[in-house]
Amino acid sequence: MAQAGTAIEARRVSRTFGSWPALRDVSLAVNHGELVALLGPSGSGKTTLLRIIAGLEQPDPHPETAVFINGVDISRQRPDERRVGFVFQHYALFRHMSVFENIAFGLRVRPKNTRPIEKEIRRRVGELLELIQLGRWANQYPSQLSGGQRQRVALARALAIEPNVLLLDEPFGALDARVRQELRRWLRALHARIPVTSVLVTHDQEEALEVADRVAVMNEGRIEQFGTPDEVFHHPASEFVVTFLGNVNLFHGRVESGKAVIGRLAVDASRALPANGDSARVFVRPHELDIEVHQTNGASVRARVLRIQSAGSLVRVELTPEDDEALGAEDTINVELTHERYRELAIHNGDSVFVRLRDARVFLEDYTI
Amino acid sequence: MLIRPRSRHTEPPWLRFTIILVAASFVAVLVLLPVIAVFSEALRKGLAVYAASITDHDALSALRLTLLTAAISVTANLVFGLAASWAIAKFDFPGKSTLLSLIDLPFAVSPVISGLVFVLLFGAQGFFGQWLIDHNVQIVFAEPGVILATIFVTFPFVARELIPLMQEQGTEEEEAAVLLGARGWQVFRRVTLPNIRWALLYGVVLCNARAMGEFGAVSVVSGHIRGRTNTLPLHVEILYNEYNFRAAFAVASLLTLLAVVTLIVKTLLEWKTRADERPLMLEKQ
Amino acid sequence: MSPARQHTVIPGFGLTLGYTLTYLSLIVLIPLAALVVKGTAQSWAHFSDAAFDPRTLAAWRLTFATAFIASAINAVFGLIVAWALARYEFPGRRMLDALIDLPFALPTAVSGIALTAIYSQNGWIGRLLEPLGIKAAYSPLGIVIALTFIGLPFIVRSVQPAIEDLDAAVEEAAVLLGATRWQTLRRVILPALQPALVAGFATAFARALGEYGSVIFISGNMPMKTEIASLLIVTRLEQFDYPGAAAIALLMLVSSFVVLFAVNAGQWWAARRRQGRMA
Repeated sequence: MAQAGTAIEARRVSRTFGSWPALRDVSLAVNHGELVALLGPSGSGKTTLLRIIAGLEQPDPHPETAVFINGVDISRQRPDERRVGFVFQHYALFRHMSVFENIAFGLRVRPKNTRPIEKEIRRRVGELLELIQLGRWANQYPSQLSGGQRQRVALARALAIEPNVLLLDEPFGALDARVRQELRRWLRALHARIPVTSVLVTHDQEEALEVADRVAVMNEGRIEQFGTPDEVFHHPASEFVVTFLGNVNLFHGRVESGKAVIGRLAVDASRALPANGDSARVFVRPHELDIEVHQTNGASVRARVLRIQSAGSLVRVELTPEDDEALGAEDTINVELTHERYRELAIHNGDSVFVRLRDARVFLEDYTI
Repeated sequence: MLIRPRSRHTEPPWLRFTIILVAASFVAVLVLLPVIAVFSEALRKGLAVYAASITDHDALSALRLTLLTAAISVTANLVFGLAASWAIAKFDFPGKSTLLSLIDLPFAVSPVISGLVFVLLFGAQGFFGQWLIDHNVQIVFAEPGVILATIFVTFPFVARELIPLMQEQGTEEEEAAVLLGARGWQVFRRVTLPNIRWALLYGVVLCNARAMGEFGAVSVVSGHIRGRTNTLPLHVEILYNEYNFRAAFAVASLLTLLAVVTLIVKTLLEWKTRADERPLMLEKQ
Repeated sequence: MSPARQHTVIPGFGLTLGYTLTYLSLIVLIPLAALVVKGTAQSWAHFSDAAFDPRTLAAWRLTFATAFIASAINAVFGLIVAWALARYEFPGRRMLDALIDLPFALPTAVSGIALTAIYSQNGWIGRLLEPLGIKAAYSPLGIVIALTFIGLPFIVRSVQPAIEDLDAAVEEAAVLLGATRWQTLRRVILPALQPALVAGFATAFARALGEYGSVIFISGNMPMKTEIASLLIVTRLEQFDYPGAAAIALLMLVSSFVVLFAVNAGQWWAARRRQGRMA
């Protein structure tokens, strides 16, 4: 039985292609009206999971495996009955039909008893054309449209059938950066207007964090973490999540007296560290480090400034550690400062300064989920 | 296939001219001359004799059989071509390349052998020979044999045109259509068919030309019974062997006209498919 | 419910594959099997009597020789024609292009009588050759001409796309490195065209081995002199010697396959060697 109230529930889904496991025992529950992003590198299984939810592929058979949409087990429905809206990465528009006919397709192929009359079809398609702002392109053909326009048509086509869920497979992957950003914003606005339960597959973390209500970070066939953008970015649950999202510095240290120790720095771990002596990996985001010209307390590392780069709203400083004590840091430390702080410090290339930890996350060497 | 500009020659002009001259002469003498000869020979004794030859009773009967054979062969191989290309292009299964080679098999078989195999199956000494005699069914030396042999010879024509095209077009549009609620025939009729229509027509045209013109295979199977089991090409042979050259060339001229029309339609369709493909190439970028 | 093996939403797998295999078996596989069975069901004595008696041997020699010569002629001239069509612009180019397919579209009986008319003693060309002592019709030369006629499209249509696909940059590089046009042709262009040329040759050759209609009118069909193998099959059939006809047919089929297979294998092997050297 499906969990009450979930729009999509994938339960213990696995999928193996030959000898390669694309999905390993994955479970996911999406609430009504939510926009969830499946985020991960290629090969993480996100597209496979999406296609299984759409019914385009079958999961490996297993007694406990099931996929429910609105409480109904989809394996009991024929593919053409499922009312799933699917947007393909390369649009899959019907090349020999006009924009209008593409959008109207799902309505035209309905069996006679549920098919709307012609006038009604025109009205609905007209509405959708207005929504995607392509009203004047109704009679054009896909080959005459730009990539961004085609993707909007693909979306309208999927929405025309009033789907239970909307699934998007890297919808903006084939477009260039500017168009991607515009469409991202547009999708978010559209979802606010028409809150269909949606699942979006993407490898672009900016996209996922910007658009989604919740993000499932996937790696090698598993979901590493499923939470709000804030949760996954600021409270990453595993090493993969913290390295995949945003920039990060990695320090190697050891566990001593219940803390992770790197040189003279000691970090509280996010969970209890059982074993003294174990090596620990400490991940620090660039904005979680601070620079001081003079050492205020012992808990900082001496480093030399290699490069200073003004990047938009922040200043990025690249340093190399100068401590003779084996710090275990990689060759460079990246710190992000606000312009204000940078001006306060008045540092230059070649200066010797101190890098201080503001916050950090610790993972043990053999940390696995 | 990219449309290349034809300005990339670095041969000296005299060499270019010679090559073009040699090519044109070779083709003109080898290919064009016979076509002209057909009409020249046909009309040598004047229009009246020509007209009489092609409206002759036996000629009309041969025409009827030719048209019937072509209609059945083209239809049968059209249905096959659609089924085979759907199976091969839209699904994954083991043995696909073997299947493709088998479909191409009739191409590699001599026309005489194509007719022979049916005599071996259905002739008096054939595998089913006795059974057919007992049930008073005539296949060899009768129309069914002619039709079967023609189906064999023209077997791959439609499939060969459709398969590479459908493989290239992929399965996404059909998947999208199913998710949008379309059922089997709807998917085929509304999505696939419009995408393959020119290649389909092209295959049908080629299949038809070959079906109407097949000689060797049909010659073996038909028994050459005038007025009953003769197709137009066979009728040409009979007339020629009787030294009735005017009539032979007259009937041949009909077949030549058919070949010329086929070539014209073929060229038009090629131009059409190329025009269709160009915007699609931009889509892939 | 989709069957266990098919993980796709696209309908019709069972129906289309089933129909395809059934139709293929009925129309192609079973008839060809009948040939193999009839051909091999006889004693070796009878088989070799039909397949290797002097008259048949003469026909084999003639068939292979004429097929080879015709395909070789087509290889040379077909290359020239394909080059002209692919590389040059000239008035009438499109018509020339369309003419190439004519031997393929024209019924073989029509080609047969037309070629005979032209190359016989009173024919337009036969008339010119006779004073030179060359007899075109009713001789092996006539057979070669007919086989050249029907083989032309195979070579041209094989080589033409290969020429069109040649990389302009490679030719330009050769010129910049100092190669003359002739050297570029010999060292760069021809090797690149070789696979297409060989494939076209093989197809034309295999086709010429089995050709019937366009040859039997111009050849004269004199046993031991101008009789081709496919005609012998028909002769045996008319004598109701089914096993004999099957024997000859089987040999012919096997040789066509061997030719095509050998060429394919050769191409594959050559391609692998090329890749191996570059790896």
